[in-house]
Amino acid sequence: MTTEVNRGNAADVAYVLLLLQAALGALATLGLLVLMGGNPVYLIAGLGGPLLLAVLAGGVARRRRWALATVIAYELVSVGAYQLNLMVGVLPQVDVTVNLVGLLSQVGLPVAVVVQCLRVLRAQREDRSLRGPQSQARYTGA
Amino acid sequence: MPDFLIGIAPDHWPALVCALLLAPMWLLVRRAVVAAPLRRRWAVTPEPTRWAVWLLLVAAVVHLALPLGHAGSPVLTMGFLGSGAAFAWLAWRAVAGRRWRAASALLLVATLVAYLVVAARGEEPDQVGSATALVELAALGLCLVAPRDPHRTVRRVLLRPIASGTLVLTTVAVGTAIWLVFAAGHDHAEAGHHHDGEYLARAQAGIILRPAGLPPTPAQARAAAELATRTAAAIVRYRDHRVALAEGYRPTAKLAGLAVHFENKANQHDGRLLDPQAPEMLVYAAEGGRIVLLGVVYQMPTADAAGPAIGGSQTRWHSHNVCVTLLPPGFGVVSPFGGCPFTAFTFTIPEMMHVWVGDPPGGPYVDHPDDGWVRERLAAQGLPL
Repeated sequence: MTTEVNRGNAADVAYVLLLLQAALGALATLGLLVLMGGNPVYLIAGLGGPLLLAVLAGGVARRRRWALATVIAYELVSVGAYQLNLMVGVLPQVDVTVNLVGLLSQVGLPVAVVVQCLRVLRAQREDRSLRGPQSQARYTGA
Repeated sequence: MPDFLIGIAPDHWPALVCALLLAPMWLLVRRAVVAAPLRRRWAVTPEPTRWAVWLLLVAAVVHLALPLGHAGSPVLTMGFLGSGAAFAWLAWRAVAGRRWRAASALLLVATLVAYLVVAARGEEPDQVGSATALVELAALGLCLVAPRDPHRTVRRVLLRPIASGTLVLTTVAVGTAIWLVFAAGHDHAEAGHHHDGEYLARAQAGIILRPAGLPPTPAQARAAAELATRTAAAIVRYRDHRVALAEGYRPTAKLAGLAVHFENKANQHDGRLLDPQAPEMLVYAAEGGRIVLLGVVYQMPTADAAGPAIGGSQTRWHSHNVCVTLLPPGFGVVSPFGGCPFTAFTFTIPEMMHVWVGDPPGGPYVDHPDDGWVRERLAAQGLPL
């Protein structure tokens, strides 16, 4: 009972963390918008990520498998891109500043979201195996 | 790594260390026999509440430990201790299964507002402050957004979207406020607003100001004065910006504003440092159909080399951490929470240093000349654009 309650609620944690991540993306878009003279093209481009995260957050809150899988893929790509960014910083022409809050928002937050989503998926798998074939249709949408 | 350390105010290190010690301490406490009731409560605590407890505890430890490094006013110290104790108490209530959300949300909002007020009054945001604000925003989200109800209740249909929107708006508002406070602090960096006067602009939200270091020796002061004099003499020919254009300088943005930079790509790669005859950038003010030369920017050729401290603390170098987007091509500044927009990469560009001509308030190495002085100069000496 305890395990089921805890894991089931992991989706609620992931939902809040995804909203926070979307808000951070929207904030970063302001920095882009100011330097690019308020060009609306950059607003659209910059808000694409936060809007996607908000939609995915809604899917995760409903425990949709497509949303959970997409979020995991998105976050892994984000962390991978951050690592790639750090590697590019080895070049002499440019540098990359690693700071505490950057590590939290660019690595800690995505990793936390992935862990929560994996817990939800695992709980769903356990739930399916306990309930038998009938419950499978509920998760696959069949 | 050096930038990582610059971003943390020395008087905030004890708070950071205490926060990092929270996890190992929890492991020790969990194993203790006397913690059996706590373990039982923890086992039935829902996941979002567990997360909120952790985040509240981090906020509690940071606030309780801040007075260890701060020799601030008694009021500030009492504020730190009071809010820290309140966070710990609310974390305990959450584990104990009592009401905690509303009080926690109020305290978190009050703490965030207090942080911004203190920052606006001279305590420049650093990495520990920004990280704690991020932790508090996450905790606020968990307080506001209740777990999803499987049934279509008023809470789910109405309150949950409002709470979600509030979290997003609060995060953007707090981040923007930190940005503004940071920008104001950067503009007044020379005034030594921060209590230790050594490390400034620690937020690293677009600008990374190098530590000032020791006061200049007489020889360094002479070298700094000589560089300023030679620079002023060498760039007289660029008073007419068309001469600069003819010699390969190009504006980096529209010819409008009080600090329009003209860069010369050839000078940026000529291998010469601090050469008044070939500055890497020129800075003009252009407004109301007039333009006036303000000074130069000397820039290092590569980002992996620190600028020479020819004038000690008088000649401070700075850098910019920028977000570069490819689709569409553009650039912005890194946010106070260390992020860039979707599909953008972040880079820190080579160090640079301004040298202003015309004797601005604060001297030729002031980080940002006063806007009023710039406008006066524009009115008195500006040429038709």
